[in-house]
Amino acid sequence: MDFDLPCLDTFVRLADCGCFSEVARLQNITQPAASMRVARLESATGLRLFARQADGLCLTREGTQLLGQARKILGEQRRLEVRMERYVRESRGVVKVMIDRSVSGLRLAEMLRANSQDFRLEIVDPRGVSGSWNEALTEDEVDLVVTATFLYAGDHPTLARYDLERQRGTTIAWNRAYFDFDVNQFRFPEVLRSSVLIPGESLVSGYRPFLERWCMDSYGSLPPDILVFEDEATVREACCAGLGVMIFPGDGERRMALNSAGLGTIKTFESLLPEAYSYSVYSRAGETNEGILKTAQMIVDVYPALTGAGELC
Amino acid sequence: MHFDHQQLRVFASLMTERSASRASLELHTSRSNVRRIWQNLEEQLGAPLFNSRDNGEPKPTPAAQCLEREMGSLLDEIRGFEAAVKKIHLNGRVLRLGADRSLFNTGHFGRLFNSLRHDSRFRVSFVEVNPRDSRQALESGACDLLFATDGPGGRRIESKALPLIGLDVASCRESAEGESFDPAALSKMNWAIAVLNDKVLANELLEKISKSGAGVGKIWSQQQFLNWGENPQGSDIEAVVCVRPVSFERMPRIQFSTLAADVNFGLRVCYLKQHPYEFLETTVGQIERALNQQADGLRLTMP
Repeated sequence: MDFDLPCLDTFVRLADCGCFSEVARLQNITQPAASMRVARLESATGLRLFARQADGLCLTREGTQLLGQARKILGEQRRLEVRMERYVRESRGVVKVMIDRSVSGLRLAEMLRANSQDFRLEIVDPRGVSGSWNEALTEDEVDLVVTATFLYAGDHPTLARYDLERQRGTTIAWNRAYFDFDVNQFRFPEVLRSSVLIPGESLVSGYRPFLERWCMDSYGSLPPDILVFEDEATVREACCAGLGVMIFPGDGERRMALNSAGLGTIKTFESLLPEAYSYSVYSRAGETNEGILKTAQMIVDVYPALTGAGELC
Repeated sequence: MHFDHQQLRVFASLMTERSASRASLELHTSRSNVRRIWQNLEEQLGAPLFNSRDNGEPKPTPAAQCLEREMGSLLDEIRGFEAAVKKIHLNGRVLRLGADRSLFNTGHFGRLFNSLRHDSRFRVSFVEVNPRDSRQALESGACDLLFATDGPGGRRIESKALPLIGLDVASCRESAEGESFDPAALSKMNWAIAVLNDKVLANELLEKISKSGAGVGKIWSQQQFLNWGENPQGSDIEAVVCVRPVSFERMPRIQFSTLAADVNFGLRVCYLKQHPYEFLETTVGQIERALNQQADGLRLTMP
């Protein structure tokens, strides 16, 4: 049966979104090329996989029958690539580290790049991996992860963690020109009456679901808009521009040097959320590779020197 | 890093054959193609696939062994996909025959439907297709084969002529089985021709019948004909030239006899040139043979 995996990929994506132009854009090919690929798969299997109706595509019964198996093939293909990448890294003695895009993460990456002459390091940020950070780690796509987590979000039986730092409470920051909160008589529900800026899953995993649940359970409503950010530099800019009120766990003020930007800040919930925010190094549980363990140790060693300066690069 | 099906096939063959030329023979491809894929794999792995040994037999490197081990589950899933496709083929693929309802309501269509129904390669179903939407029905995949007196044209569509459909005359007069109807007899009656769906074609047919001595008749739609069949006395029409509908089996007072003139409805079958089913062309041949046989007593006029 003469078909190739890009054809299957087009088939699966088309089944998911039902629109040739969208699939062509996602796969970076032209629309006729995308429809060619489906035609090739259809003639290789001798089956009609899609019914092309006026209001779009829909899978035929045969298409539905084959879709699951096609997904499995693509999943296995990706896993094969990841496993072979890991093999190549190991044979070359390269360690791949994913570091989040927080201010300290950026500085840590910079310092590691400067200090890693004797063994090779490959440093990526969360945009460089295909799924969430813990999937990337358990599936061998990366060897170490440095990221922040909230409450239990970092606890996985297959992962080992070392906390570089833990912080209490929640930091709230705002542009004084748009929000005239009174720091002395601060009421949290007032914050929820306008848009909020919060960290996303790759910056502080577990925070967004927690915050949404808390808002619903304690105050019975959600903010009008929740803008999610995956790096601290951008959220700081957005907050300075007055797009909304920033709600970040832990000592956001110190981490992002918010006072120096002239923002109003307050730290709350310190007794309610003791040490809920942690900044940690994660590895696979039971990791034995010497290069990986050495890199983890180096991160632990250099981290204290990074904090405290409190200046945004 | 990226591994495609083709690359893995070449790699698997290299692992057993240990030579680009033998692998290219096995895979029916060129040696340079095998070499190119080999080189690409080595670049991706950053290591050669084979070490040459003293006795000349190349030995797979750890990188090659790792790839061979790790690709097993992907190849299993691909085989699973191929098996699922094969199973659908074994159960019979669905062949949808599209036609206008008046064409469906003829013995001619019944006969071709039956001839396909007995083929184990597919399971057949009938889809009613309005002649206006025939092209769309083919292109959307609503039907695989479309039967019509004139099919849609276009460079994407293959259209083939099938054996013609002979005409009958329906009337209330008593006639012996197998008796034919002389066109001259029509000239003494009020008569109409019931068209299948094409008005232009109907005019041509009407002219031909008139020329064979039948005088002047009317053009009726299929629906008018069916209504007449319910109550022939309620109309001044005494005979209708038509393709004998299957549904009239239920109305014994209407008698059918062959029109003794060389006049027929044409029938075409259309399908997409680029259709996934590779057997459509041979199937059309099969339909043609079935329609040419006069097996079940349904009458058929040859051109």
